[in-house]
Amino acid sequence: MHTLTANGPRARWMSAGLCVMSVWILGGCASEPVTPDPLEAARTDYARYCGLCHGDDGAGYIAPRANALSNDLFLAAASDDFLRVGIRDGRPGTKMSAWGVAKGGPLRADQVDGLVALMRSWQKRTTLTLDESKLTGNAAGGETIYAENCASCHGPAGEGGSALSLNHPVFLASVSDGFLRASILQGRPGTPMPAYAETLSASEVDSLIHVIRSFSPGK
Amino acid sequence: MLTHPSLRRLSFHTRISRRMWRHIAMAAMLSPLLACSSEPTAPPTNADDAGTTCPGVSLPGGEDADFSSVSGLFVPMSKVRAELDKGARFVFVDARPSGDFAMHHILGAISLPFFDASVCAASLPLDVWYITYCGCPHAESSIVAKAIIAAGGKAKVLDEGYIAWKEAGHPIYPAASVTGTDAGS
Repeated sequence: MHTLTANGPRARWMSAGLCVMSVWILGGCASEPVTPDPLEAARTDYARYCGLCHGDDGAGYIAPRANALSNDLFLAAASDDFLRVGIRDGRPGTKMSAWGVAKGGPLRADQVDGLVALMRSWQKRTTLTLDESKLTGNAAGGETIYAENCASCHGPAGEGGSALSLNHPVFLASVSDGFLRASILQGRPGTPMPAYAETLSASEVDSLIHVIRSFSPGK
Repeated sequence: MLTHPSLRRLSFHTRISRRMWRHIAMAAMLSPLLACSSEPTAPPTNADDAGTTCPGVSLPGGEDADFSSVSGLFVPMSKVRAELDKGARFVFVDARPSGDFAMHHILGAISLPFFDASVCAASLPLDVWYITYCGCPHAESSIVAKAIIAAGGKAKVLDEGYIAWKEAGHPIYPAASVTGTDAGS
């Protein structure tokens, strides 16, 4: 039978080894790492600043015209830049404030990016490949389509009604034709916004977009 | 199972000296400290209540306004304007986000956004009436009014809200900056 003592070089090495093993075995925390939530700060910001109007889960319309941020087709069509500008610059003149610090709001650029990432985490479907080709035709004919299909919710001049406004300069400057095409064709399932893919031709959709673009000041 | 050659020699009949046991015990005591140091650092949160800048209030002169006769949380714009015209002492509180306040607001108002109300309400002087407002016209202003009341103060919500105040031609600041629907929340 051996007596293992802490005397002698081999025994000291074994002693050190046992210490290391004890730390490894008894240090239970190290074997069960807790993964931090990278969106925790954004969730806090969302609850503090956004939830009052857009709802705790982004379902929207807690406040009038506060759109459904978690709508899957909206997220699949919206670029990060579009979302970022929408938060940072808001829609002055509407209930959507400018939240970026440059506009007097409370959110730094990294906080805005965090909110974009949080919204992305709600997206379930693959991001759409948008048709960003040049618009065909012109607004001729589009006015009638708009009056018959859109004005009752979005307002006769795009000023908004039960649905959000389409005439806001910040919106029109940041939204792409591809986003508008996808939104008109596929609608917003789960909201009153229907899909027009079966109703309108591609040229009629483009005429409609010409009308929406005409809402922008200076055009 | 001990697999390393040096450890394999530690068979069940190997005796470990008292000094060795002390080493092992010490390691066991240190292990929680070492283990805790391996816990992930919590991500930063942005809800920095300690960093919230609460508004200062310059109390106006005059006799105290009397809104206590108004029942409920909401006070009609006509009553507020009447107290204003009398030169009565009260403070407008803009409950909209600070960006909206920066664009324009009711003349003489302070900015206390709804999301800072729970932190800042108690720092306000509590012996004066506060009239809160937003463009909603009630959602944000009600949060602020309730926070002031919860802190022991006196507050009512401008019932018609900021947009109606502006469109009625009552004083705002800057006076000429607001046109059309440019009213914020």
